[in-house]
Amino acid sequence: MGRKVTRREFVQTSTAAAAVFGQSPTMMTQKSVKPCVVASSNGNRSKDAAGVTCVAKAFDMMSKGADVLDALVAGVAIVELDPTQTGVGWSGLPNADGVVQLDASCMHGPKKRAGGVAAIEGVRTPAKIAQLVANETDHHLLVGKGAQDFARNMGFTIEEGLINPIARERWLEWKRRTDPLHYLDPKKRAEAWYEAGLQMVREGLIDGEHFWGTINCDGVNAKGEICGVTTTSGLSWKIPGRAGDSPILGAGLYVDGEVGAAGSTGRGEANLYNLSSCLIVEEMRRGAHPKDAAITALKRVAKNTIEKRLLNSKGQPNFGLSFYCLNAKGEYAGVSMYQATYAVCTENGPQTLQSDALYEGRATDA
Amino acid sequence: MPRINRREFVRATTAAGVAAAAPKTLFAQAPTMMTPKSVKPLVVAASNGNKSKNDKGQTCVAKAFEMITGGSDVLDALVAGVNIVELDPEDSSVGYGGLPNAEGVVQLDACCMHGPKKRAGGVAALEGVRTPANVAQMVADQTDHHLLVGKGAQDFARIMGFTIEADLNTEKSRKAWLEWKRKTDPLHYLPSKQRDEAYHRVAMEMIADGWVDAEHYYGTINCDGINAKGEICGVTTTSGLAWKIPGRTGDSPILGAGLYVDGDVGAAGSTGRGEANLYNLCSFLIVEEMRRGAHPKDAAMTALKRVAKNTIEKRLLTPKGQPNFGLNFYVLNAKGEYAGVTMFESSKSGERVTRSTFALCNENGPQTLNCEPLYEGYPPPTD
Repeated sequence: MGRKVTRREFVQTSTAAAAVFGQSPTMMTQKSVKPCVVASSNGNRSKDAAGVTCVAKAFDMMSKGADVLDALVAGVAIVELDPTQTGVGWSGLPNADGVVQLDASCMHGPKKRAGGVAAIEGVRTPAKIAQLVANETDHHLLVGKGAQDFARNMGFTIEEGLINPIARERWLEWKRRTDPLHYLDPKKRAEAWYEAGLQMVREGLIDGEHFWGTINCDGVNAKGEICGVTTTSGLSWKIPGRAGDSPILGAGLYVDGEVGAAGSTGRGEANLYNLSSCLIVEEMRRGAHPKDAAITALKRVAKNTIEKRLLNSKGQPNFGLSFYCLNAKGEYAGVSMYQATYAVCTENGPQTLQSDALYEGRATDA
Repeated sequence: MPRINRREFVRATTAAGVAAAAPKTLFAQAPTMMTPKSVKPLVVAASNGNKSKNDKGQTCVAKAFEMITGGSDVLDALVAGVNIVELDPEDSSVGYGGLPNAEGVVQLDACCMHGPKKRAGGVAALEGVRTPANVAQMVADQTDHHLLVGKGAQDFARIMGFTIEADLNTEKSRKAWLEWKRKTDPLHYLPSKQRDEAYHRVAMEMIADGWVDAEHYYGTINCDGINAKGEICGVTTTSGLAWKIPGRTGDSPILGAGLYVDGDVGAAGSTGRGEANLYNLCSFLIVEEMRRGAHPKDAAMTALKRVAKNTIEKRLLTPKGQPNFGLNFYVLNAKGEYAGVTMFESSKSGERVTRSTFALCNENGPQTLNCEPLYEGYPPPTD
């Protein structure tokens, strides 16, 4: 939950942090907002060569006057390019065929432009391509081969067979476990694939967080300009072509320049079905605090989850889902179905905080 | 939008029952509607839902309504209905015969939602399958996912038993593409941004010259239905924007954009400029408005106004500051109330001005009705 900083506290802390997070004076004008960047927890874990995390990088660029979306995209590029994580960008875990397919979207609040790419292959930083879809085309979504051709036209190097050695090893192990099931009927096979993936999570071969790993990162600058970006390699071992919520406006990300921003990580299908990010922004439009808006979305997801295979013994969703939201006043929240963390950067510097959870305990019975 | 009260409804069905020596076989089963929990079954769709016909002369809405009242699953009925449009080679905006992308390849988009089962599926940029709505339904029924795109969607269709055809162009769509290519080829070496603008301009010229129907430039079919038990489903299917950038995906395969269904609330779907719905999540917004009690018509008007508010770029605005594109919504709620709502009263293709309409089928049979417009007149040609 975003701790609300009083004006006095803010003035105090901003003096201390001024060296690192300069330019705070612009925040003291009448129309000003407390700048803030909020992200999934990997937004304060992966680091660039200078040791800076995503949220810190984005906050720093914003406070130096960069366009908010440029700052966020530069921030998430740190995670996209971090080869030690397997949930976002080129080093993410591949699909069932061993091919890395990436999804991303972004929205620019004041410009009301937005772009997304789904199932793009051979590039390292899909968020940048999503930004080019927003800036350079009349469209909001490019998918598959067409998205790749567009990236090539825009000057990106397309790397055939791009895959991280760690991801390839994990894929081989998964393939070994599932190959005997190769000829099952498609429905049973899909279930077996998923189960083998979860087993690898239980055995510690894959980080649970990276099985569905994604980064969403949202920011507001002192002028109250709001943008957001979401990028991911998608569900591990996914059916080729499966697109999650990350490239879809309203599902994995939504921004309204006058209201706020919301984005998500976790089971993408829940957001594709419930348009959770859009719902959160609509709730904030009607005056809800970011935290309450996100709780409403989690409850909607729980209500719409009626299939047994997706419920635990308590009748609650058996999957993780987290939301990261901020509003035009600079209030923010990290909210999740079950206990989790999120990243935030304000004038106090980058922090990893506990999110507010809808349910106690764990998603699964095991 | 005529709202029929219970008395009128009883009268209408009785009349239909008596007069219906011929239509009876088509629109039977009215008695199930008289139980306390019952709803008047209804199918609403884009206007092509009452235009394309199968070999028995049935349109999409008539076919779906017949199946619904005959006891079929609502979504099965709607998908069978839109199949008529998908398979009609004369409809150049949906399925087989749809206008191809900039490379001359037909790429289809579709999605569907099942209200009571809370399952949903979509496919985007699917090549080689005539009926993408069926593949979208398979994604809903057979996978843990909601969206498959590109080659992966095609592989999935093949595994599910669909025939993959090398080319879904008809002679008509191929010739139209060649003409477009001829007109745009000199522009081949422009920077991509200018080229996109030129592509769009040439397309508008071709509409003005009568090569392409304005309605089919963005053409799509959305079809939503409710049965007597109040079960609601919806489906949307399209070949997408004519001459689109390969891989460009519109609103049709995206839940909340080109279609949204909540089994307890209602259904909404759209045709027209897909980008407006991708940005504003209009179908979702309409269902949320209905959840808070709005009538389908008012809910759709709210969405149109939101689109207008969020359209701020000059290239997308008329001299009056209105959006310069068409956008239609087809909406029904759990009570069986419905609406067809449109940004502009009409559209202009060459010298021909066409009133914006939608298709409906209820106990009175298939009808084509006028949409309620937000703005009068038609959007002026863009230049």
